[in-house]
Amino acid sequence: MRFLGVIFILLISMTVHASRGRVLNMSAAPFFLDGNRSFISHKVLGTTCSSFRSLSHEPVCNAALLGENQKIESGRDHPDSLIFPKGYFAANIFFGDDYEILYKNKDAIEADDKMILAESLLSERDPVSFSGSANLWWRGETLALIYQPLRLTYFSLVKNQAYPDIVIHAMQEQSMAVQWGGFLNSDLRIGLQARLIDRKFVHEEFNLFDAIPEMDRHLVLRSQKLILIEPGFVYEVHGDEDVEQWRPLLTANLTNIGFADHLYDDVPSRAVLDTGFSLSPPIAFGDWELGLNYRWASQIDGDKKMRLASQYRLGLAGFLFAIDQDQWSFGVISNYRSVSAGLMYERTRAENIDGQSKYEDSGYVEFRISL
Amino acid sequence: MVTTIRNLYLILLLVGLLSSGVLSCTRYRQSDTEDRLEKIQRQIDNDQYEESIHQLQEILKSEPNNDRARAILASVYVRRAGVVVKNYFDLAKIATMTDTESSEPVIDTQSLKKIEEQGGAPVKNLAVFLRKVNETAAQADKIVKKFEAIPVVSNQSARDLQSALLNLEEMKDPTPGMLLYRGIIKLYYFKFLWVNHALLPVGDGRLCSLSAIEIARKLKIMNEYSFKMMIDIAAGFPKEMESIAKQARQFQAVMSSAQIYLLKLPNSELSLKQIFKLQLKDLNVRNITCDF
Repeated sequence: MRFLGVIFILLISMTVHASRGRVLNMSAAPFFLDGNRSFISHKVLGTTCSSFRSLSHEPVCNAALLGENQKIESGRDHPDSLIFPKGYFAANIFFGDDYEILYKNKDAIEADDKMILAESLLSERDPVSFSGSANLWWRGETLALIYQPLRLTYFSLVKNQAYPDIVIHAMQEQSMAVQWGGFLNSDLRIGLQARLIDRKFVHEEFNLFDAIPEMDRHLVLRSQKLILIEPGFVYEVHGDEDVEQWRPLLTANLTNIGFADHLYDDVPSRAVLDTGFSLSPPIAFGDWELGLNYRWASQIDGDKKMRLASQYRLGLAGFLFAIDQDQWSFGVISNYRSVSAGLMYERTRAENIDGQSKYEDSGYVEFRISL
Repeated sequence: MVTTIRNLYLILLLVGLLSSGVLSCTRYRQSDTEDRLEKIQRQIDNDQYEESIHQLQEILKSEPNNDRARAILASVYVRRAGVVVKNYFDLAKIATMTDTESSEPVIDTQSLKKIEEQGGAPVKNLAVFLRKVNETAAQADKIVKKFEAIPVVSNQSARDLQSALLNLEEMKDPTPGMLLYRGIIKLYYFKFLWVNHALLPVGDGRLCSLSAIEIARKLKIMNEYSFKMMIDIAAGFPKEMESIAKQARQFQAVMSSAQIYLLKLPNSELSLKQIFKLQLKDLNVRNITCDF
């Protein structure tokens, strides 16, 4: 009950400021930071993913959480559902809606036909957002390798059809990551993720009429290669039998640190710090995990916020839910033998004009196979 | 063990309080003009025209040199007029085309030739003037035909376009893009004026019912308007600027020449129809009446 009281206080502190809407000037900036969030579970949980220990069928968000299998082998009690296989291969595809519009504009992007691209954008009245990727990974006890041969992201928004300001983001990315994590002692775990990223993108905001006289300077394809070294920490809270049943964790994860061949002002380049905690309240049926995360440092406006998430699993199905001051997400994942599929729905508050909010709705799908 | 649990509660409480403190201490970006303009743009998309106009006028009171605010204010009127420039790219391609097919002359050229052959100097002047009328009408018609994609707006919408242009004319240091925008709006308004015979009323006897002085005045207005319109549009196309400017100067030359010959006509206060009658009464030219 005390735990619930404390969680209640944290929720209150979050919801006090929930009414502030977010101005989306370059709302596509988060795409640069979400490269490893190409799974339904990661996408729903969002920043809280760094605190969840129960991600058994996909790569972890915080490398320090890889040490779960070490814990099992140490003989500590654990829920049956958290028995992690010693090592397995898997692959998935993950994509969102509005793919048709992305496909239509992708040809223009590849052909470098800026006039057709800009003309196509003018016909889109509402914001369009898309994210899709394919992943291959191997996850062992304390080591994981993740290869993302392709990730595509897209965002466009036209403001004021009579004198259009256009926001556009289109990106193609490839990456490879190595994760290592394990126990330093009975309470503390550390992890490290090294990522190589190669991306090509268009990311810009401009007025159409101001751009026409100098179109060659706009919608320029840029590239960036990065090496990121991202540490993670997990502190296991121990206590009496009650505490052990709730399995509380405190986590910290530092991402977006490393080296890049080119730095751009409009691409986030500073480190991002997430801290959070999670609990696995003991329940009669299934497994339940609750997590809370606060993002302390981020260059993106409106990104510094609290997010609350929850995952519940029973049998073949898992249900995820997350909420913060601007967004809520809900997802369902179903596993059967080596195949799984997932669906998610996300609603984001996009504007707050004179007290009236406008919402963007998105849906995503994932198909996965494990070997 | 109890100590550990108590510490955990304290840590969690501290995190909650700290995050409350962090959130409440977060500095929200103060609204500056750009933020206000962005908000107004969203209002425009939500068809909140009156509120947008009011807020933009407030901004321009304190920042009269803010050309971007002025352009956005113009866009409110343009949007209210129902004019959406998403077909702009088709217009851009048409604008750089050199020539469309020639239109039918307003005044029959064979008849004009007869007038020139038979008459003396005053009649020849009339004939030359009428040739200029043909050229002017043909050039204007070419422009209108080129931009057939532009819809003809209603009278109310035309008043909105006029309001937009009045604002755009007050820009202090417009960018080439803003000039282009002004040129496009002028094009829409030009089409309205031409189709409603407000510029040079040609056809069905309209031109002939006007006096020569009145026609000269209208030619002057049309000359200035269309020249400025084409120069504004040229600003948006640096590579084609010379070609568009050349077309503008050609059109201007034709109309200026027509004005000159018009003012040389005797009895210029009379209607063109009456001038025709007087000039041609002694000539053996049939089937030439001033009915255009």
